[in-house]
Amino acid sequence: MILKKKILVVIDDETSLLKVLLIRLNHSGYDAFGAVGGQEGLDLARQKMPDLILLDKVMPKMNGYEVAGIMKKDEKLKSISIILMSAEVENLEERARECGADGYLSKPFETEALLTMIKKHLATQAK
Amino acid sequence: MKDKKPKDESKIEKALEYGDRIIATLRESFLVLDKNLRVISANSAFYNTFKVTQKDTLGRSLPDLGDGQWNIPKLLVLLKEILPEKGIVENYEIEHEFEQIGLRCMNLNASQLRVPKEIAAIIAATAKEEEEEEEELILLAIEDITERKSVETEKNRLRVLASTAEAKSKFISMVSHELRSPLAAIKEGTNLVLEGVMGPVNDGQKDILNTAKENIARLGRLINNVLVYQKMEAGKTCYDLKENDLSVVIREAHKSAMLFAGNRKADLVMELGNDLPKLQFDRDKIFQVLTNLMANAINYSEGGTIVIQTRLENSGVHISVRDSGSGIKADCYEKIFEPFSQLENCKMGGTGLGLAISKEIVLAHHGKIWVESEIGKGSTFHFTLPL
Repeated sequence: MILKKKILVVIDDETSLLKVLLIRLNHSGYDAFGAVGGQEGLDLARQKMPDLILLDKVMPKMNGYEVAGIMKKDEKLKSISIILMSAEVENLEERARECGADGYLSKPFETEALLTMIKKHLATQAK
Repeated sequence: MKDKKPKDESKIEKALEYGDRIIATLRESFLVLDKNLRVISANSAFYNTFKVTQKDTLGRSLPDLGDGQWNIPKLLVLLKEILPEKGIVENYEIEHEFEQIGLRCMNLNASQLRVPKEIAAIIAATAKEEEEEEEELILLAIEDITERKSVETEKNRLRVLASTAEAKSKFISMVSHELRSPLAAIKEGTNLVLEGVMGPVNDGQKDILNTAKENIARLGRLINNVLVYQKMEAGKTCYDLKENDLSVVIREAHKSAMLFAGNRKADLVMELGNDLPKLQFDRDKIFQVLTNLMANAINYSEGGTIVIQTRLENSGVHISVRDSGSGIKADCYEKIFEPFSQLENCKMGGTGLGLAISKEIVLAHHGKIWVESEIGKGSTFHFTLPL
């Protein structure tokens, strides 16, 4: 039996981070897709219906907060896990909770921490 | 007619007394001048504030008062130019250096008053030859606002300072955000190459990439420390003071320091007093001080022995970390606890903020932190936590 790969969407306006994260995630056995902004991310999420979204908090035009807010009100998207990423350190945990994200990662993060967090949230969904 | 005049004069005198009483009661300096700026009347507030006598004031021209000390150009402009045109002037500020009382800041209200000639004659006790029916007088109220001004200046200075501090703190958080974002990509990219995800990597390349990785971690620590230190400096750090077992925290810090030591040979010996009472301190912050001191000791000992000691003293617990490094120059004993002291020839390695942060933490616990050192033999860092 072939296990279907889990689908991930990464939303970040930093294209360099987006690039390396997609390589990392695809290499780690996921089907990962990237979007460079909030609106593009929402469009991609509707198209791919991912299992989990890695979402940057600080983005121009539409930031991670707004994206999470729209997703949590959207019948189709609201069950997708969101991990909020930010280079800000102040109260990231609280901010993540406020906008309905399921977890948070402070940039720069350890590869190990990233993969562990993704695994944990995908496992929670499976139950 | 002859009978009536004294009656009128007594009415006038009563009216004048009424006016004089009002003026005398004022806490503000008050002058009545004739149109030639001669002082007709002044109150005691004026004499007291400006340290002049009634004798030297009444009947004299205002610019001549106090040997010409009142010959203030801005005041003469008010009385000779502005007032005749406007009739009434409020809140006219003048700063002037007086010989006896120094620099004064005055807030003036002035107004013109026309009175019938015969009344003016009584008030000013002068006979006027002019044809006019009325005589012009000037009422001048002088408020000494020197102190209020200096308070305002101080308030403004504090306001500017506060906004500068806020701008600095905002700037630092913005910069640190801008530094962390690219660091995330560099870190992940380096890891990908190092792990061979992008293709085979030989040992020489691995060595270089590992060095890069270590420095990325170091840069990350530096950015964190800048934020931590800035927050402490701004007094925005909260301390979670609870009863804790210092020995337990030291053992944990020891473990963490050993991990940090990694490949470096480090021999950390603990000599912990077993009579230590429980102390009130912020566990995470004291842990940070301990790991900082231990990491420094590992960095400087180059394989030598490091001894961590605790001992109970009268005033509190004394903790020391002794290394067998090359020692610190005496003129750096104080400087190394300042941020980025390596810039002043007191090289300590690390991020340049570790000891500065440690000092802030220890001081916040009302303890002391200092170093003793002997060149060539090593240094001992001490700190105390009060009971």
